[in-house]
Amino acid sequence: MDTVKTKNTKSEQKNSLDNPFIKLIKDKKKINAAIKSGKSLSKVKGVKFVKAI
Amino acid sequence: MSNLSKPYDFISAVEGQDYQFTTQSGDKYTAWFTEFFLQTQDQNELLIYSFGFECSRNSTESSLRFDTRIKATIQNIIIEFFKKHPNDAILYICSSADGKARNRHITFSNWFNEFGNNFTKCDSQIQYEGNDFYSSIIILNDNPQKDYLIDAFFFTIEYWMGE
Repeated sequence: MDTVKTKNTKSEQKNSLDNPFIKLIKDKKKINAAIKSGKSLSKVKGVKFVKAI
Repeated sequence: MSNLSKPYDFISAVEGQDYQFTTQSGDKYTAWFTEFFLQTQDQNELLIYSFGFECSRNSTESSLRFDTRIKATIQNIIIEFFKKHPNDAILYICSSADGKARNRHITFSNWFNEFGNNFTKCDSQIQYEGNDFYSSIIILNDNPQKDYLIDAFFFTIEYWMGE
């Protein structure tokens, strides 16, 4: 039973909002939507852009 | 370099959050970098940069035109990144929201293959909740943390996306 409980906990953790890849996919959708509608990316909330160049 | 493969000039947004260029046919491309943290097996976090780009088409006809300068410009942005950040890494992901993830991954890989021998790219393809998820990490070969970054890349994917 303990094993099952541990597995469930792990599964919940993997599907949580903390998953950085899922956040990245969602961020990309928000960015793409902003670009398609002609909005500045500075208006996209929750995404930490980096001035890398 | 011929005009056909000459990169377009790109401009940085005032706030510095993106880089834009416009093609000869009027399509507007936007590229960006965001923070991303890899996890390591020894429970450290490594800051790398996620890279993305998107096109806003000028017209439906413009999408039919083949323009090698787009590839050259994206390559140029990535090379400029590594000039400034030689010890960092770039993460590129392709999700399958529109069913074109594999095509994008192949295109990006082909573009990368033209970079030469100074870079390493590692790829991951994984099924996540029934969808294909492609990701790649790009690192300069002489990055002193190269192996550590590659290990962390695969560890982070397996941790979060492994089933």
